[in-house]
Amino acid sequence: MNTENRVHALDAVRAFALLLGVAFHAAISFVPGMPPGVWAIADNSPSAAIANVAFVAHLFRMTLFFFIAGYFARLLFQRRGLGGFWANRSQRILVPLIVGWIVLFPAISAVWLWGIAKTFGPAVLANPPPRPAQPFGAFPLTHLWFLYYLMLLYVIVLAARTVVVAADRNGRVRAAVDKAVRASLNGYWAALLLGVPVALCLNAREQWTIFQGIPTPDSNLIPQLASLVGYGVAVLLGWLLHRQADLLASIQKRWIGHLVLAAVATAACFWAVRGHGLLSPVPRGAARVEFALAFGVASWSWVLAITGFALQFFSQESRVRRYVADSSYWLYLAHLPIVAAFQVWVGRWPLHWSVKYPLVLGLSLAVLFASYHLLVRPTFIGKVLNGRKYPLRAPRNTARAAVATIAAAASTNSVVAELRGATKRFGKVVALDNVDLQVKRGELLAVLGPNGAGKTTAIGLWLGLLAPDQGTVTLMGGPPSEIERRRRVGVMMQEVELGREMRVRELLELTGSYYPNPLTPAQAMELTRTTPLASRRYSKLSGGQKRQVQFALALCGRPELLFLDEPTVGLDVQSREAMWAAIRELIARGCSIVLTTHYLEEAEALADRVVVLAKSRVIASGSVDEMRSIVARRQIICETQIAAETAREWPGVVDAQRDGQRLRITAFDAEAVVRRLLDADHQLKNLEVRQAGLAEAFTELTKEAA
Amino acid sequence: MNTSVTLTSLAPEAAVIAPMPPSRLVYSYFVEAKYEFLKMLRTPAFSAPVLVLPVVMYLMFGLLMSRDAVAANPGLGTYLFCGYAVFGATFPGLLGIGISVALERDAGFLKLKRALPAPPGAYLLAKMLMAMLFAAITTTSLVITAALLGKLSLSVPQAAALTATLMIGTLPMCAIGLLIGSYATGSAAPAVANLVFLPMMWLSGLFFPLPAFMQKWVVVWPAFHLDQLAVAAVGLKGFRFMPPLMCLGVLAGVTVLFGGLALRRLAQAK
Repeated sequence: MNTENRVHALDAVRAFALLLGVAFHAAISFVPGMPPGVWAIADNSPSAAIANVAFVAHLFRMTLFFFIAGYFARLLFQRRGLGGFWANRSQRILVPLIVGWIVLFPAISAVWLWGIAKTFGPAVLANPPPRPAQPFGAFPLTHLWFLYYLMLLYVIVLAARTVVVAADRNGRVRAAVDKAVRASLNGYWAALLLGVPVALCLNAREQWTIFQGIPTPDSNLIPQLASLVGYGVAVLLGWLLHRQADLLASIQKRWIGHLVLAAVATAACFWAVRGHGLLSPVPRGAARVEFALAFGVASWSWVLAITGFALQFFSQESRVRRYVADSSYWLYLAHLPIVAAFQVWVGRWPLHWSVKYPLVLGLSLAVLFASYHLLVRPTFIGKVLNGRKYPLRAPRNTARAAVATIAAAASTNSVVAELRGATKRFGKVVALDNVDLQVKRGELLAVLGPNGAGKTTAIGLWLGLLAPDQGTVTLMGGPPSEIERRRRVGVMMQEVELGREMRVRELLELTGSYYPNPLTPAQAMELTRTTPLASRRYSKLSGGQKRQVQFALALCGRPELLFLDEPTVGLDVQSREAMWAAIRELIARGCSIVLTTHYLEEAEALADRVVVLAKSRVIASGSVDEMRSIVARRQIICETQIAAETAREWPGVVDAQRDGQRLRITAFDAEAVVRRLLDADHQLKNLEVRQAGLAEAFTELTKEAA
Repeated sequence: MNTSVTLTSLAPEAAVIAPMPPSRLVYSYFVEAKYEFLKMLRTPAFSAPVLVLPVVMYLMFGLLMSRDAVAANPGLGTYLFCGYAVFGATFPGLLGIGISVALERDAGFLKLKRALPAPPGAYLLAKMLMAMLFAAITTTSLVITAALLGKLSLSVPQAAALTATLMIGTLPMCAIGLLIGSYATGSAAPAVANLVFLPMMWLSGLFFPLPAFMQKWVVVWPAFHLDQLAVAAVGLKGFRFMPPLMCLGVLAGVTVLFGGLALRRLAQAK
């Protein structure tokens, strides 16, 4: 595993710690026995379960954060040097601390006042109780204290580093420290021992509540010893770990062991203070020592278990994790007033906590992620917090739109539909590859090709059902997505079912209603010889009758342009002749038609111009006669001694190939070639002459095109 | 056949290239809605249960089987009545739309609608109006049944308020149905829609008392909120568990969320 991958995993851990903080704060209003006024509100449906889970999360979440912060601090220091380190930290820690406080503090205060008004009644705001005397250095840092401590700890660690570098000239001290770190992480000693210093500090404290764990130093600028030691150890271990980054593998290997240890130590925490509420002070005596030690072990085994888990499973880069990791900093900075506001809002609702807690968390995250996506990620705020900004939308779409506008303006009136350089892919399959096609006013364009050639895709593009991956599509001088364009177009598609329960007349009335000046259902039926079907339900019609009705639907809006996708499939000869006659009449009246088919005779019977699509490209285009000459080729196969080279020289022969005993000749004038063959070789046997079907013609054409 | 005469009328010069007159646009919304309703009415697998089930179930469970309980608590009779009315209003939105949209998607019907110049939203509006009309029919038939049997004392304005509430209240169910229809295939949709519909009906506490731990969870089902609105509309006291405004907010949220997700899905499914 390389360093890059480890960074992804550690990024994920940091994001997890921050998001856990959001979930933790969302839980606080549900902690039972929370004295009124301490948090924004105490919910009317408290939950011991939420409180216990929140306590466990709080055991380790900040230690985890500072541990990762220490690792990244040394990484940054190594890359940028001292000056670069402070420049970067000023921008990304100090500025958010100061600006964030200025913006967030009033918001947090407002939410708190709202909660207090809701708890004690609005009168309390008019007559606030006297405030207790504030100790020296008191300052409401709010949840931004972690940025303040981060800056303090950076100063301490870098100062310590300077001292060590100056004093330890031969590197013995550093080698000894590295050795100790390695030894402790190559077993479970780190988890067992790292909690000891903070346990000692905490044990000595006057005020220490169970729920809080390491005290949150959010109300005073004077550094608090227990917090500084507790989180200082974390930053230091992170820093030292970066000196020997291969030790991450040791952490990764032991994640299950650390998890077991974490579970046991957490249980020991609960056991040590059994019978005491989570919000009460840690009891004195033996229980206090037990709790302090269990707390330290639990905290560090959670940290190492989660880091190891992330290294094991989240080392691959993932776009989702990248996004969440980028957003987590903003989310944590901004979350407190939003979370608290939702808590106050739902605080008196007569609902169970199991409904309200997810609601508070879900709404908060929705607001936070939306604000990140719209206000932070694409703006300078994102640049300050995460070092770069991302455009809200990929720029290529606007470019494509501009091209489409130009193309629309350029299209002349005589062209009713056009594909220009159109490419369409479905996953890995290319359905249309850089296709240019024009339909001129009053012509019938037959699009010929085998199944899967891209005919239906081309029609889908013209009708606005599909968007091209590249190139432009115009319909009646504009984009097909505009309904005005489609009001001048009629459609007959493959594999579509209309309302099965509707009668034919009703279908015509409904479809006609979409057009400004449609034929009446009676007119449309008369024109397509479907009058006898008027009262039949669509689901009761035969396949051929359905095609006829679809044809009626296609022309009921008096279209200027008709798309007919394989219109005569499944029709008997009579119905097909009738449909052809109607199509010819439409053309004579100036209607333009695009007709796809894989019957050459249909194209011959109707088309002015034929385009052959094969393998998603236009491989030939021209008049019907030109196409016929291609398809008029025949294959002559026989067993003969005549050399392929000789036969190739004869007039009318396009190609000749030897295939063992047999000679295969492709020719225009098959009769003359056969006569010559028989003259040249009296021993000739097994003579066969085949019409080259459309399929073979396409194959030939494809070869020529390649 | 006088083909040439009709064909003359087909010539492009005869076509109106000017924008669609507003009257014709309104007309096309109307035709769409009319045939949507007729289509559903002609589908017996849908129309038979939606028209018959609420009344039959009300007669069996709401009147016959709970006679003693209702005698002890007269309000309960009205509460149960409201429950079956909600059942009748949820059915067309959730099952009717859920299944029909899935089937029509499978059949390429939606694709054709998009290719045709069908006015924007006409398809969805027609579905909504269809569900509202069916909700009105089932509510009215329940009111008439109960009134004929002398089991319900609603004033005409109360009955009208109930009908209006349920007609509007079917919209969040339409949104859920639409979401199901926009994801499920035609063959899976009936199962999926029923898997949402039946638990929602039974777990919303509309028809029988729920165990205590499940009572807390009734709020997750939109049918519970709709029922609370129905109870408020008929002015029943003693069965109000949530302020109507909050219920309205929840239902509006459900409509916007589910409807939005469904529209996004339908727009993507090109």
